[in-house]
Amino acid sequence: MTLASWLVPLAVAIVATAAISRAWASAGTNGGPWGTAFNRLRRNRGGMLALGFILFVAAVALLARLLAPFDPNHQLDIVALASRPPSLAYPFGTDIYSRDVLSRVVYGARISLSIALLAVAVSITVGTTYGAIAGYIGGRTDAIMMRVIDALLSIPRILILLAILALWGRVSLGALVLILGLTGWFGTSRLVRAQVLALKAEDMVLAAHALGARGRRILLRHILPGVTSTIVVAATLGIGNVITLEAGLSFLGVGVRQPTASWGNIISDASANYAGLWWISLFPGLAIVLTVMAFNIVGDALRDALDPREIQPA
Amino acid sequence: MRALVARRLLQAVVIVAISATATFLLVQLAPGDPFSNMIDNPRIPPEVRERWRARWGLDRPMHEQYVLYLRNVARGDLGWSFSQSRPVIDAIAEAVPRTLLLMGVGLLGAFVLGVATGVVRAGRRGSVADRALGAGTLFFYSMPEFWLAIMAMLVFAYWLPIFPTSGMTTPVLYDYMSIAGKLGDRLAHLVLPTATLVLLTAAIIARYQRAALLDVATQDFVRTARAKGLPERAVLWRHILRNALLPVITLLGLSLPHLVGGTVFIEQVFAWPGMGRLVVGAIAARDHALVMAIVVLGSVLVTLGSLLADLLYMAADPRLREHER
Amino acid sequence: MLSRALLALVLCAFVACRAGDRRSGDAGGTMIISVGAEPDALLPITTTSTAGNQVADIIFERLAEPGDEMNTRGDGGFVPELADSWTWSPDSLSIAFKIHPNAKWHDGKPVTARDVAFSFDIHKDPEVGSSVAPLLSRIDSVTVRDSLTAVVWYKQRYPEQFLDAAFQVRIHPEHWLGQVKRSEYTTSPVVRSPVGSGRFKFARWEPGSVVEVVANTDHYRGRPSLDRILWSIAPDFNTSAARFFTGETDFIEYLRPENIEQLKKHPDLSMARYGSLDYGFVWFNLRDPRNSARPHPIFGDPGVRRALSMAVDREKAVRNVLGDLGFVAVGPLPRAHLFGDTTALPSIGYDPEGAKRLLDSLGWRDTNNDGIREKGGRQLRFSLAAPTSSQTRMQFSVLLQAMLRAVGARVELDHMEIRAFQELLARKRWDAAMQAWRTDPTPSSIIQTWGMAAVKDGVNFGSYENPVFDAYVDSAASSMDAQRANQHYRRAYETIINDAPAIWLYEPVNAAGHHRRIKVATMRPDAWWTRIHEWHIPRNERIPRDNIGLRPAAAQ
Repeated sequence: MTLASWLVPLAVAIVATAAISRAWASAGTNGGPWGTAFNRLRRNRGGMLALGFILFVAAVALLARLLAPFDPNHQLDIVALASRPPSLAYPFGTDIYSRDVLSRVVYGARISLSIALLAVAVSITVGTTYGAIAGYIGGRTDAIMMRVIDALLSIPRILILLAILALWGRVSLGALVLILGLTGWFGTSRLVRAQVLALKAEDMVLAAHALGARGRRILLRHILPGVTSTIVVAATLGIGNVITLEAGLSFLGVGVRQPTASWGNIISDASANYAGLWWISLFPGLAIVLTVMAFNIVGDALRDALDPREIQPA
Repeated sequence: MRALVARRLLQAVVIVAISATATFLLVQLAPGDPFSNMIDNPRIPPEVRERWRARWGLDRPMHEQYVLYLRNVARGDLGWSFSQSRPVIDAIAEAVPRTLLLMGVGLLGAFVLGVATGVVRAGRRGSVADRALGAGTLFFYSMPEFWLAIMAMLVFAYWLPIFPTSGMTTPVLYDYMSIAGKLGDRLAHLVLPTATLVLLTAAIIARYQRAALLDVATQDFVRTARAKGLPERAVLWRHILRNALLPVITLLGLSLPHLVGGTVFIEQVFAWPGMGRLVVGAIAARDHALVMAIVVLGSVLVTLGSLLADLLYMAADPRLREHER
Repeated sequence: MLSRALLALVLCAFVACRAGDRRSGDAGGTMIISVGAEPDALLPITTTSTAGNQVADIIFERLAEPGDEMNTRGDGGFVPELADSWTWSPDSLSIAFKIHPNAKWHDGKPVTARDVAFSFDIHKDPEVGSSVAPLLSRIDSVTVRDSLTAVVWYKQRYPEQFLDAAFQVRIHPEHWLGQVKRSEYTTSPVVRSPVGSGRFKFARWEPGSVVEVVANTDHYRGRPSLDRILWSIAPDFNTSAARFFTGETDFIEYLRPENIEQLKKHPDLSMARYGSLDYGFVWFNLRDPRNSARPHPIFGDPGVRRALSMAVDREKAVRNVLGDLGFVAVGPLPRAHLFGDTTALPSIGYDPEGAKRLLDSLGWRDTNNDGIREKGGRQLRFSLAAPTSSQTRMQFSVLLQAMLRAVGARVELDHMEIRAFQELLARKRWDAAMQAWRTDPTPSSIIQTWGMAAVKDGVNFGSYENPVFDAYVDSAASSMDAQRANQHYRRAYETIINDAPAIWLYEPVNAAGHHRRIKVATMRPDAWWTRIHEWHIPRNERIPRDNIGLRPAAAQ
């Protein structure tokens, strides 16, 4: 629409970040382990800025229809408006098919973010279940389950993804999410298992056991809440990973397919002439880097905030 | 010690077997029966096809195929690549050393850069240098490999044409160069791809490193050393670094999957004729036998690497050696 | 008297020496050609790739080559190659070709008439499955009169008798190729080191990297000017173009519009335009990919094909993809085959509204408002394949996807490597494909691509079958009167254009890029390399790689 409409996601981001900050402050005063964590988070300036940026990108993705000046797949004028460098009318320029790059980047945010979020959701679910079961059962079963994880972790993720996409050929977006999710849960399961093992030995759990509570109840009521912090950190960092992966796969031509825009495949459209079409690879690339950086900063901040062994600067 | 090593070796074998199994299952589950397509393809010479049919048990039930498959993989018989008109093992044997060259130089550079960064940051915690390095590390860690490769190529091969854009050597001329010329040519072609790999892997190492060094730094003996009045430098080099070196060796093992994965994009952008480009080409050519073999090989490389790292760790850590008694 | 004769003798000797001097004095130089796809084979009878064809053509020879004017009727427009001379029988039903007495294969053995007979035999043999077999249907047999004379016998008289014998068959050595089983020409390792008789001989082929040929200094018509030619194999067009602009290679046979811009920034590179006999189109598979006995569920209906053709703004698409370097195709032929006749052929114009109305009337409607038409439970949805070796075709495919979407068709793009693409086409498991043909100098070869016989045994993978079309082409090819022949061709073109088995998209203008130091000879539209033995690099313009000479490469 207009330049002014961009103030909307900006406002949303600022307001949301302020609200979260306020909420954490009040939670902080209540004390408890989460309270200390929230306090630390609030004070991490870099972390809050990154969080704001993430919310901004999310808002952009949600409000794509309002913000994108054109339909991302619309070829404006394949003779007169193809391969135009950035200008006032087309701030990010147009690609070789005369599609507005800004619109594509905005809609690409939607695709790249949702794929990442859903894929990580799948990874977290599968990984947590697997790790929790392994950790809780312990013994031989645990050892075998972890051996399998070691093996699966030894295959570079990109190779497995390429192999699957090679064998299955063209896949739908849903299938892509599933594939990304099902190849990314191995690390999470290890982390969760470690946490579960640690928690199993705690007094609270031993007591519950003595009182006759059954396995599932113990797992759900006592252990899982302790695992939450690990999961949250893993998820945040994982989202950044998946965004990068999906971009790479789309760049190679096996991820998101034409004409749907994802940050990765916009860049591959420039492969005819990287030097002459610099705007087509620059802007989506920056979008990826900044968004992934933001997720990593927030993930680090969360980890630092939740880690009891964090050293304060002298 | 020897028992430990033996156990570790066995573990490695088991891990490779599991990944091979996973690959086999993938092929069996995929639509369109790629398994028979790999072997019964008209682009394969007839006698070769007959031989491979028997060796891979195309007409046998799945569990027999699985056993034959494991045996073939163990023997290095990985099928026929019809896009290259030769056995898969030959195509891979040619490409792997080139990727190893890239990975080797990359790992060395990344190790040096990553550890140096980590040490500087741990030593000057809170300073401008620390924060700048931290930001830089995060920046490169968050960057997609292919994008950095494209930007590097644009800047150093197009706008400032210092380095060649692609390949391992200058086509044609290389064969007629002197020894010195050949070395120079190879080095010139190595610069951009390895620089990209180094920056990205160093960022990963530096991130793991930060955690490792922070761990060590809090330990009592460091505090004691400081309390004893040792100069900060001595604390840093003698105590922190030496003890952090052990986890760093593990780091090398941990960063291997990233390394192998990273080369896929870098080889694609710089047209480096290694494993990564081979697999992308194989996918485009629907040459499934080659794709699957590379997946298994990737797993073997990583396992070997982490095995090596573990053995080094055991050799270096005196505490582990004590376990013998 | 004696002194004048002596003077004349000396002068003659002087001139002869100088002429030889110019040839041997200027001889030398290395040329590297950039190609964007790996050759599939280097044997003329089996190769179907652009790069493979170039190399094979340079290593092997024909009996005679068409001249630059490309007059393919009779034998006047031909230049002797392996055949030093030829004589027609009085009834014109046979031609006796006399092979040059000094012609030798690269392994030293002499070229004999038996090799000629052998070559014709394998080209017609169904076990080999050569794609030129349908073009040799009017040749009855080839006999050996003596060691240097081969006689070609025809079933009938027709204007292109000479062309079929001299041009369509490249001569292969019997003593070398005879040791390979006919069914294994595509897979035998022997054929990867070809033995020919041409002015350059095979040196090496490193898959994915380089193909090299070196000058044949013993060639019976004299050595070529260049010492060696290499093909630098890149994985795709963009990489091959990049290599050209950074000076890693010297020649690229095809420049795209954005490359022309780049060219202006390089003063040492120049452009050479040459005619084109290529045309590109969107191929419809007229048969069901899952069951070739049934017509294609979407493309089996000619009305649908016409509607889809109407949905494409070919003019704008060609401008976007090719800029000034291309025209809208007039049909399954390059403009050159119209031989100057400017009367327009029928064409399906750009009319998206008309397309929508036509699709509506054929029963394809968007009943559930998702933007895609359906009929009988099936969506108007199909895959469009394109090879990654052609940036042009890939770009067209994306444009077409959007244009067809606008009329309610959903196109799924399938970009794949060229050999996988060719295999897909051959197996007939495709819906639509971006294809391009390079035609022969003669229009009669159209039977090879669109004729009925080519459906089972040839490259007519779309299964277009129209006996009326075949009849017109046949009449044209048999007609001794050029005017009558062109009229028949016209009828044939009108028939096939109205049948719309494809969307006739583009005809590229060929612009090759080459380093200034390489002086090129005339480039024939269908084969720019035919005079490559005359291309030379003046001594004072040579760069380091030209001075390698004929010594072999150092062992790696």
